[in-house]
Order: sequence, then structure tokens, then C-alpha cells
Amino acid sequence: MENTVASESSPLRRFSQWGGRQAFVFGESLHSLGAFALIALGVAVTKFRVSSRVVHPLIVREIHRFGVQLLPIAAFLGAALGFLIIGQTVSLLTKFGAQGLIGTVMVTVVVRELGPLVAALLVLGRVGTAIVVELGTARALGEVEALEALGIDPVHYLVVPRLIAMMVAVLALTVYLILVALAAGYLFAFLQDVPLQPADYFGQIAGALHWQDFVLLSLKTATFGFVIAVVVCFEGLARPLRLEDVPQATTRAVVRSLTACLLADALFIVIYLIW
Amino acid sequence: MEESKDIAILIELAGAAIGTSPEGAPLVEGVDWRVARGDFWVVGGLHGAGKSALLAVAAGWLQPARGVCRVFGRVTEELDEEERIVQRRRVGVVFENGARPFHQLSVLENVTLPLCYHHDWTHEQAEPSARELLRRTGLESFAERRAGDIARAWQQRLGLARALALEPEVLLLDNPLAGLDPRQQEWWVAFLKELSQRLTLVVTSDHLEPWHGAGRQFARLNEGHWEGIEGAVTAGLRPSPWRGE
Repeated sequence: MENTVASESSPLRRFSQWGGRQAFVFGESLHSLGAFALIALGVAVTKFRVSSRVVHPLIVREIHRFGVQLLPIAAFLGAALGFLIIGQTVSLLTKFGAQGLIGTVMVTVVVRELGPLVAALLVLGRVGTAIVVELGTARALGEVEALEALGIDPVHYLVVPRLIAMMVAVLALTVYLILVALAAGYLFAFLQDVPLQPADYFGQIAGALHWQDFVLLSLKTATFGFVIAVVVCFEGLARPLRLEDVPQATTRAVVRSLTACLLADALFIVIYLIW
Repeated sequence: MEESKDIAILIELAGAAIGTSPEGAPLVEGVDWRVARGDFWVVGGLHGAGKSALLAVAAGWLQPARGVCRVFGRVTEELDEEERIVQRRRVGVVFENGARPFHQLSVLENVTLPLCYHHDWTHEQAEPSARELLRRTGLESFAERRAGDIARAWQQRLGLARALALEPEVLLLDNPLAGLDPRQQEWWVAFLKELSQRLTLVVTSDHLEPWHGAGRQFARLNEGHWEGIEGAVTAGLRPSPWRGE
């Protein structure tokens, strides 16, 4: 008996039980999120022309909210990124006489990795959390049921505009952020008296860019936008919520979006390596 | 669905068990109920008796645990998603406790939204009809205010205006008098009495007395059972909708 009790409460057993539970919860969440994503995609495609005078202006409004309104902070982050990382890298490469690698390093670090990721994190932090609160509150106050009672599809009215706007916004913000970061990086290098002409700097970057970079950058940022929109809308909308559950749903949405974005990023690294 | 517009029985429940109590048993059993075109039903019951669940079943959102529910002659369980949406446009619902307005939208936008969505209208196209509904419900002066900023009594009226926007064939109202002062209650009873001349109505209520002289058919949910009150209008109503209290 004592042995049984001891083995049941052993750290290894507890850890394996905890691991099993986590794996089950993860699998269940993945299944629900996948189903929600497919429903949202299906509605976006099949109902794109339905009630266009209501839904299309909503898409434009959300693009303004998720993209245009975030331009100043995106420019600030781009400049900070340029000064802190690119300027240092350019300065270091020049010191070691490896100026020829500047273009490749910039494209790999800024265009492929940091630009999309920072833009996605910015949108998640500034807009994603707000969406969970908006939708969670609407759900808790019964507004979603009221929409259904009026024959209005909540996924069509609430999710599709946010989904499309988020994809467009992350892509657009990434482009702006990269441009500002590259310019700010050169400015920092110039202030450090690095002997590099603007034409050489931007010429090297242009030379290191391939057409695949444009395709994959678009795909990657659209994927980040899609993933964030699906997760935050799912957390706010897909389950019955009380008002006191909204903060918890917001935290969960941030963690899950971040994890999903990093997993998607890892997938794109593999694609870059294969391509 | 369109050809069923001429049918006389709009909602029919046969041997229905409705809702679920915390113990897992149905809240109401044996509901045999027919709502014909032109009826004005008032269904009484205590808090937790299953009034909201009854309306949810009648609206086709909730399936009865047992028995059958037909709305416009169609068994609700057999409808696909598109048919459900069409049906929802024909059944108006006013929710309990403030009627769940869209808090972020203005009062006017709350009413124009269903019109714009279903008719693919611009806000300007929907505005005249919406303003007329706001005028009829006494909400004209609140038109530009955010729905979340007006008092609950006005939100309740907004729910009524919003439900009427799509010109439903039957209107279900869940306890519309709850939490209202006597003057507001009087307005609701008078408004619905006038509305019942051209629209089929089903109202649930904690008390049946205020509806005396307005409702035409009465029933109550009493200790898990559906009880039709025969001849309620002529014989007068009991002081409360439940027995043995």
C-alpha cells in the first residue's frame, strides 16, 4: 500500500500526468482553432459578396485601425531596430572588412526574420488584445446571440473583417518597418563614420534580395496576420464567456498567438532553407 | 420556405420537454402548444421556470430535449444553416433585461444594422425606416447616442425597435416588463396591444395581471408543467401565474 502511494505521488508520475494533460489540452485547442480557422476562411470566401455594403466598409475601417493608426509606432520600432541592430552589424562587418556580406545579413536578419516578427508582435500587442476584449465583452453581454437572432452571421460580421484587415495590416506594416529599419541602420552607420556609400549599402541589399523573398515575405506576414486574427477572435468569440473571464481570455490569446507565430516562423525558415 | 407564408400555425410544440435544470432534468415537460397567426400569447412563470428556454425553442435556436418543434410548418431540427437564417428573419426576438443592444453602435445604427445587412443597403437607405421605428418606440431623441449609454428601460425599447426592423411575422418577447417602472410597463402593454392587431405576439412574464385586457391567450409554466389557462380573458386572471404560492 505504501509503495503504491509512494509511486502514485512520485515526481516522475506527476510530471508524466501533467505532460499528458498538457498534450491533451494542446491537441484539443489545436483542433478547435483549426475548425474555427476553416469556418472563418469558408465564410470569408463564400460570403465575400454578401452584405458587401456592411462588411466591406468594416474591412476598410479595420485596416485603418490595425494598419494606418499603427504607422507611427511601427516607424519608431523600425528606427529603433535600425539603430540598435543594423547599425551595430554594419559597423561590425565593416570593422572586420566584411562589407560584402552586408546585403546578405540585412536581408536574412531584417527582411526575412525581424521585420515580419516585430510587425506581428506590434499588431498582436496593440490590436490583438483589444479584439479579444471587444469580442469577449460582446459575447458576455449577449450581443453575439442578438446578432444570430437577427439572422446575422457573427463570423461574417465580426470575424471576417478583422481577419482580412489583420492580414493586410501585418503585411503593410512589415514593409514600412523594414524600410525604416534599413534607412535608420544606414543613418547609424553613417554617424559611426563607417566608410559605406548609400548606393553601395542599398545596392548590396537589393542584390541579396531574390524574387522568392518577396513571395515568402508576403506569405509569411499574411500567415502571421491570419494566425493572430484567428486566435484572438477564437478566444473572444468561440466560447461562452462571462465578463470576468475576458482578462484571462486575453492573456491566453496573447500566449497562443505568440506560440503560433513562432511555429509559423519556424516553418518558413524550413521553407527558406529548402527553397 | 417562402410558400409557407400562408400557413395558419406559425409555431407548434408537440410533447416537448424544454430546458435543463441544474440536476439535468428538463425544466418543463409535456408542452403541447400552437401559436396561430394573429394570436397574442402571454406565458407566465416564476424565475427559472423555463420561460426563456421556451422562447429559445419557439425561435428555433434550441432543440427540445424530447418532442417536436415546428416553426412555419418546418421541424426546426431538420433545417440547414441557410434555412435557419431565413427563419430567424421571420421570427423577431426581444431579449430580457435590456434586450442586448449592440453597445458600441449608436441607437440608430442598432436599428439600421439588420436592414443594411439583409437588404445590402447603405446606412442612408436604411435610415428613414429606422427613424420611423425609433419615433414609434419613443427613442427619436436618443438616435445618435451610443446604445450602451442609455438607460436600460430605453435599451429594452431599442431591442423592440431592432426586432421590428425586419418586419417579422411573429414577435417573441422575453419578460419585457422585468425591471421597468409602472409608467414604462403601461407603455409596453399598450404598445404591444396595438401591435397585436397586425402581428402575432408571444410574451413571457413573471406576472399575468398587467396583460389582462391585452393578451388573448394565456398559459403558465407551473412546477415543470405547461398549463393553458382556458377562458382567461372572460373569466379574469388569477392574482399570480402560479398555484400554491
